[in-house]
Amino acid sequence: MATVAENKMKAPASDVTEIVEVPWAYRETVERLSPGGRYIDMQSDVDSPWVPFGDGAAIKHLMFDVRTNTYSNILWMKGPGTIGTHLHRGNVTMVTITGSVRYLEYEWVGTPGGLILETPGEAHTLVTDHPEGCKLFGWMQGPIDFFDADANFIETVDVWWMITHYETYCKENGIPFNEKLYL
Amino acid sequence: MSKLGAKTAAEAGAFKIVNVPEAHKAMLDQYCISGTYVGPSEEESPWVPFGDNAAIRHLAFDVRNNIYANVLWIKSKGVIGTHKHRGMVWAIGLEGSFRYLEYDWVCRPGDFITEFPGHAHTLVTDEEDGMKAFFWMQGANEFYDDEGNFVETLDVWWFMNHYETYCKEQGIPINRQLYL
Repeated sequence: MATVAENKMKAPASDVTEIVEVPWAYRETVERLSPGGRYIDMQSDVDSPWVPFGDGAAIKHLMFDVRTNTYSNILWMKGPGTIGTHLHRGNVTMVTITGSVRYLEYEWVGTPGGLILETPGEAHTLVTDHPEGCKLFGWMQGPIDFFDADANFIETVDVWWMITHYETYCKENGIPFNEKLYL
Repeated sequence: MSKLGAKTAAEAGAFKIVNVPEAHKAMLDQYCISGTYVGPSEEESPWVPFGDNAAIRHLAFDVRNNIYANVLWIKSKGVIGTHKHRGMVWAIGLEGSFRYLEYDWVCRPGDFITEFPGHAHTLVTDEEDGMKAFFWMQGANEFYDDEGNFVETLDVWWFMNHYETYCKEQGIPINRQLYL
């Protein structure tokens, strides 16, 4: 049975700018076995290059998680264009960084700062009408099935496709693989 | 449009290994995580005491998702005190039966239950021979004493520590199969 407890956290619990030694019994285990958090620069090519995706688009890969088939990247549409109809079998979280984006299937237009959520079972067609295209930050889980203009199934894309896309380009261009991208 | 559902999964049933088309075989060879197998022996994973009347047999630890799987064994009529989940739980009864004081169902062998973030409940078994159940848990698990005072938050780190400490004490080698 639940009793009503006081909600103590009305603001950040501390605003002191110093490291507080948090009571934590498993520090040594975390150090030994956790993959660790990390910082990946999205603004430059230092951590990850722009890899061409057709003529009018490129992908900057940010994260690959082979345990959960999760991957993160920035999709850059360099001008007005389309990413053809595709069907999601997992979740997608996207934020528009520049330009604008919409789907032929929906009424809204995504603009910078806006959050886009997609859920399993949705098939849709991504379009940017913006003269400068768009940059979209995405965090994707699970496979995406791609179809041609006649609705013929072409390929299922997931974390393996993303790693191949990244590593193939790196090899061709003599860029070392960045370990930070592999969770 | 093709006739959807015309082909059924039940038709795909050849009793042989079929060579599945794989466009990214080199990537799988290099990065694909192996599945795990943990057999029934105590060498593979021992029963680790959890108080006087219970034990836990650890089966999996996933530090990336704070997931842990195990079999809980309460040896005779008894209680796992009130605890609150901050993540999701899947469980299947294996032996005996257990229930929560808060709910009206009883989980018996083969029965399936789920628990969700925000649930606080008290696990009991009324059986003289106790119970065993398989649990797959995600996230933190807060334990309270019988006055409702918070005692400790258990998550994948507690469960790993529970397993490793016992193994070290007993000279049992750590089984890498438990670490996803």
